[in-house]
Amino acid sequence: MKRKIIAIMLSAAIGLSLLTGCGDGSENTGADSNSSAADSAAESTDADKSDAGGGEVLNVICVGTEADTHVAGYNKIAENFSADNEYGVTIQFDFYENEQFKTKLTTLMASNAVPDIFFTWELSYLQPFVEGGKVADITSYLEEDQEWKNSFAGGTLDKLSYDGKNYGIPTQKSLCVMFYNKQIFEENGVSVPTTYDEFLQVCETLKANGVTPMAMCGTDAWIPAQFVQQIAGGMAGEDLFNAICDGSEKWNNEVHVKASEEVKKMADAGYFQDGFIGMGPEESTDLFAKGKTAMYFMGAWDSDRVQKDEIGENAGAFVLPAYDSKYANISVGSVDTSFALAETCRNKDAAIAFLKYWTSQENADMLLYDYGRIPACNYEVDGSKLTPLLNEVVKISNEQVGLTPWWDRQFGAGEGVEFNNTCVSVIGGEDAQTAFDALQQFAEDNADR
Amino acid sequence: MKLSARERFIMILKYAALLLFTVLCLYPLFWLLLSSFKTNTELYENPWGLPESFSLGNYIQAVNEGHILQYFFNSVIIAVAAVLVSVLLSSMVSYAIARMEWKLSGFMLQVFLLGMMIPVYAMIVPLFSMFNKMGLLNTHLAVIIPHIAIAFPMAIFIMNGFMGSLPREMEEAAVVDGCNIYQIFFRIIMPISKSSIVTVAVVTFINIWNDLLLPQIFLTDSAKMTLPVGLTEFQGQYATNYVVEIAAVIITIIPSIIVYIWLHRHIMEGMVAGAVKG
Amino acid sequence: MHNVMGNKKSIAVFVLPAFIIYAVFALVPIAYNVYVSFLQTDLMSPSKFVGFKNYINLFRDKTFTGALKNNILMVIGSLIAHLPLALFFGNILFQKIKGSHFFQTVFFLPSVICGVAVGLTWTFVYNSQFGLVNKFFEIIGMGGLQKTWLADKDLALFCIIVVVMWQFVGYHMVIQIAAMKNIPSSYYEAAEIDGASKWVQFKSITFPLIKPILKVDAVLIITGSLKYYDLVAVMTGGGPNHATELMSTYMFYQGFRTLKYGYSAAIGVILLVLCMCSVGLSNLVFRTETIEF
Repeated sequence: MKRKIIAIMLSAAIGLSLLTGCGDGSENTGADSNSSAADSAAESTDADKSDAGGGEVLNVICVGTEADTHVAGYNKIAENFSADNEYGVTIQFDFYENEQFKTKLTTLMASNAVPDIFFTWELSYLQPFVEGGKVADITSYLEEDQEWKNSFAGGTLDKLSYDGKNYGIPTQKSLCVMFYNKQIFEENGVSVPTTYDEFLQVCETLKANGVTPMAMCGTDAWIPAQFVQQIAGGMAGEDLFNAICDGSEKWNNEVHVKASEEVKKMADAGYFQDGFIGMGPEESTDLFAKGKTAMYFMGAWDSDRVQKDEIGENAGAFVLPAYDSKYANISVGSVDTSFALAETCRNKDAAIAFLKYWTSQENADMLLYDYGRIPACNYEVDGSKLTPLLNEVVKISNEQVGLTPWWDRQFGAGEGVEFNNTCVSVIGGEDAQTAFDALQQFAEDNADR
Repeated sequence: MKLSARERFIMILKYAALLLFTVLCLYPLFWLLLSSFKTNTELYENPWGLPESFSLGNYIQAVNEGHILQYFFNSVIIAVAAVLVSVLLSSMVSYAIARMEWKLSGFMLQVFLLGMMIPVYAMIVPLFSMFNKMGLLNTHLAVIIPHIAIAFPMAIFIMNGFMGSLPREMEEAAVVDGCNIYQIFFRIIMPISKSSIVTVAVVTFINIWNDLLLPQIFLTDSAKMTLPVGLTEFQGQYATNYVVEIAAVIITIIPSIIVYIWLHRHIMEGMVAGAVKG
Repeated sequence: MHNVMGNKKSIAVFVLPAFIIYAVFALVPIAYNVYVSFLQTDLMSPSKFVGFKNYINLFRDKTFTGALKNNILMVIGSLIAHLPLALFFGNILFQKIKGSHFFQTVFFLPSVICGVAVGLTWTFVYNSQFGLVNKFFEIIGMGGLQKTWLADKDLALFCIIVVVMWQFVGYHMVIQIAAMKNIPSSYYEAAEIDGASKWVQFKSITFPLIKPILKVDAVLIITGSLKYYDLVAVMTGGGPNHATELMSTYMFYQGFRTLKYGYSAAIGVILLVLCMCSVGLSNLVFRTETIEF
């Protein structure tokens, strides 16, 4: 009987899959995992791309969405490299939305199916994967090519080094700036503030004239949090940041409390758009980009997105003046769009060659001039090729005396993310001291989870 | 029968309550349907009214850029495969437990029914680790297999109840006619149990079709995602383009509603069977 | 006959495929999960046996206790909506009213729609800019009541509970109607002759007789409320600042975002224990009540 046969085959298939499952489990530590990862990756690319042209394929995953203009630039680099390289490899890019990317990478890491090259954030984001032995040590490649190594701005490679070894290549630099709408500033007779009080005065004037001073997003906690961090940096400088990192200062220090209260005060004074607390990042960016608010505090990576929108040439940028002027020009910022190689990468030489190509002056220029991405390498910048906004952003970037990485990059999903949540909660009305005390408590408890 | 004024008043109140809740149930969906034809500007400025034109632009965008059809197809593969296997296997077990003569049948039933209490969260991490070792992560099997296992308790519960109530004479006659057990099961029992099988199949299908957690964790390629995961992706990618997102939601809901209108008796019966017969 | 029905080989063919799948992919994982909950592991580096530390940490973790509290609020909210409210509608529709079938079908509809779609639908309904709720307040001239619903830490959970009520009232109502249908109509005929009002009929016939089903239904409501995931994942992602975090979402976060799989597994074990307790507890509560009657 046919059905009987089916039933028997089914149970046999299940039995078989169990057996192979056990087999895999016992061997999954060594070289075997390598090939199985390669197999599965090869399989997926075969399905995705039949026109690979016979050459080897290197898979790259990266954060990016339809709304990001620079994705086109990244694809261009990949295409050019694929078209002509001595290894004959083809780069296959896959883009994922931010949150989805995080889930995806975690899963891939645990399952040994990491793509050959993957986007990563620096510091504590990459650390567990490095400790888990999933990320390739690329120190030797940098040592062999001193010229490449030295092209990176001082300290940028350190953000992706663990135990003195290099594991990732930053391709960009980023920092938070205050974008502003020159036309709105002019119409309301205000100019770029140089002190914190002047800044508050500008907000007050705009508000009084019926203009929403700033666009802010409340749903994604890191956005208000980076603003709090920027103000805290202006209150106590880099020392506070370093002290928290080495554990000599606590999360519930008075600076954090005061800085978050400052933002809360701005919210209460109506300096952010109505209902910002429930507004997503895209919506708030849109408000500024469509000329509906006068300012917008965000990472410089949004420059291109903004200047290609309605606001166009009217967009400008300045550094939020420090609360205490002796800590001027200390901003939230770090390296950005870093890439690392999987330990299982099928062709590390080719992958490194790709990253070298990416960070070459040619591509750094293309990304800067066409897509407003500030390179991580110290290349000469030709100001005449830049839009006015980018000229200002690059100038700001050069003027900064200190950059403090976003807390959620420094501390990752634990304290970093909770810092963000704490800031949102204070802005939402919780007592700042209580909120930060809870954060400190969390940090102490989280240490041994 | 004539109603007194008081009775009529009570009747009106009852209908008013019923109609109010009907509106509450349907209006959000209807509003969503209307909104799916609007432009973003219309959505903000005219949330109540009719769209200016019933253009399918948002749907086309959702299908073309949002890969909704791809997700739809994946959902179908996963749901159909899991339903077929779980219905076949659970009807076999139910038959063995309800009709066959063996000592452990009662114990076996208890073991399966125990599963009705188990939240899937208590198995996620181990399944993740197991599939990882078996190389099944990021394959449809990683979603299909746990869904089959999860579907058993309810399916066996419903079908065991039904098969236990069948008259014995048919099987006896079949045995006399020289049928073997497989012929009895597939030619006699399966056809008579059709209604309970449809019930189980439909309920299992709905559960799998609607599930977010398993595909979210076990699948990583966007080409393999199911509709619910695809929808959450929309949320991130089209953060400001609400109308396209709304169109995608409508595309996801429509099949469920059509199946529901078509098979609502089975669905209602199946989804409540677990409670009522227990 | 016994030769056919008692054949060991054919019994094995009928039972084993399902049993093996069930055992390997449901029973074993649960046991394994209990084991993992005693480990500190990221599933990459070697894991460390830590005993009950994950559990101790969990109960000191404010986010987890918050999630537990939210789950309990969810249970209470669901019980309120799904017992009295469903019973109210169920009792009306049970009384051979015109359109009864139509209403049942409509009320039941939301429970078959996928949770993600329901969540997104209500995110739009609650949207502070164009959402129905705020626009409704605007129209009736109470613009002051407009809120950023899902972003307000005091309101967000409440908003989600409303959605849960909306989605599942019809489902529980149909369960209760099915139970009412099992009551012999002669009881009502007798009551009718005695001149008992509808309310008296409900109080002294319907309610006592469907009590066993209500018990089962209560278990379904409680275990169901402990298992919600989709709605919260889609509507708030557990935010703002964990205000709507549930055990399920927190478990996902701890496992698949912060790589604390042992910690995550411990949350799974607690959920399992709670589900089992709720079954036991409702048995106990409803049994003592029956004795009182």
